[in-house]
Amino acid sequence: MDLKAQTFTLEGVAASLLLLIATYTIFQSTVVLAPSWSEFENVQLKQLGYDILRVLDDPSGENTSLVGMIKNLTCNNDRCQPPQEFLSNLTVILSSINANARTEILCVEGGEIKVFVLEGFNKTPTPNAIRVSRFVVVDTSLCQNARVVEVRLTLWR
Amino acid sequence: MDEGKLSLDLLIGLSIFLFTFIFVANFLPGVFADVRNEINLAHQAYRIAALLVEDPGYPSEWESIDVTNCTNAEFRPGLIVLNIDAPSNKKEYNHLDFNKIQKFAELMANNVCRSEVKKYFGLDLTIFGSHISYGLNASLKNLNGSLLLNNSQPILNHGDLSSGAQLMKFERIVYIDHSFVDNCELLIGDRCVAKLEVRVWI
Repeated sequence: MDLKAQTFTLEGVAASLLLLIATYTIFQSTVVLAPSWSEFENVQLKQLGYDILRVLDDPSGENTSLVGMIKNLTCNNDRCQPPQEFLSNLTVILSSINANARTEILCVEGGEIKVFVLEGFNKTPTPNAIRVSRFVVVDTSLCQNARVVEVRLTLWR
Repeated sequence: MDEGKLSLDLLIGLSIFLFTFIFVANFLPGVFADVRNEINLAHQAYRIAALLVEDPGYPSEWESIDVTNCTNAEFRPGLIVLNIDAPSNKKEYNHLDFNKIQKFAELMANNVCRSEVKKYFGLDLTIFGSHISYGLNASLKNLNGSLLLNNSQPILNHGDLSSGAQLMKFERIVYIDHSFVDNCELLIGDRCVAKLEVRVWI
């Protein structure tokens, strides 16, 4: 009997059963994370980011608002200290959603984008961080000729 | 003479292969069924939260509807302030109208009106002949998790009682005028900053 290129029947049955049992065990014992599921987590965080910027953009808010904060920044090179009220409010909001944040102010002067980082919110984001921003109209000493300033919030958990 | 005949080995092998193939083809979609269901719930929760926080509702005077006539009218609740004095009726996103919140809570507290609300939110569906009714619950909380109170009563914590089934929550950060809130934890100007939680389950 020529056995070349033949699969032994018993071994074949055993191997296929082994594969079936292994596949079944893997799928039953682990949490399956579809890519769209992790995207949804980002959607929640991104939406919260937009909400935070909207809530903070209050014309009557003085030092607690985005405009008031930008007007009252104390800057040293590209590092800026926000007013205490703004800092504590943003800290409370971020801790309630269990998120870390990096906050930057961007404006254009002389054809160059200038970036200022807020003290207290200057950590380095993780690779899965999300970014939201809001444009506000304000006269600021950060960029003498610019009235439109971008407030950029990078969030991660 | 064996030419043109199928061997027993081949038949057994083919049977095992077909059996395995059919089993895997039937089994794999079921593995992802739970995940698909959760993603669907999450999308519904996102959609309802967006309707409440980014739309003033339909029609614009929907808050005139009450528990006596909720079955006779077509309406869809939305909670934000519509500033009719501003150019082109400016919608104030994330700024919730206290009267609309109260009306929404009133409708959600009544079984019949809650069914109407869910119907117009698209949470009461018939798909391919099968009827699907989602559970819905909405609450307005301080950022620390305590319910916002007005006259010592929760402003919004209404809807179906959640069962132990799969449940999905979507959160939005909103604000209402602080004069309506007894226990506001975070004030920004005259804004009481709060968290709207929308829970959907099936």
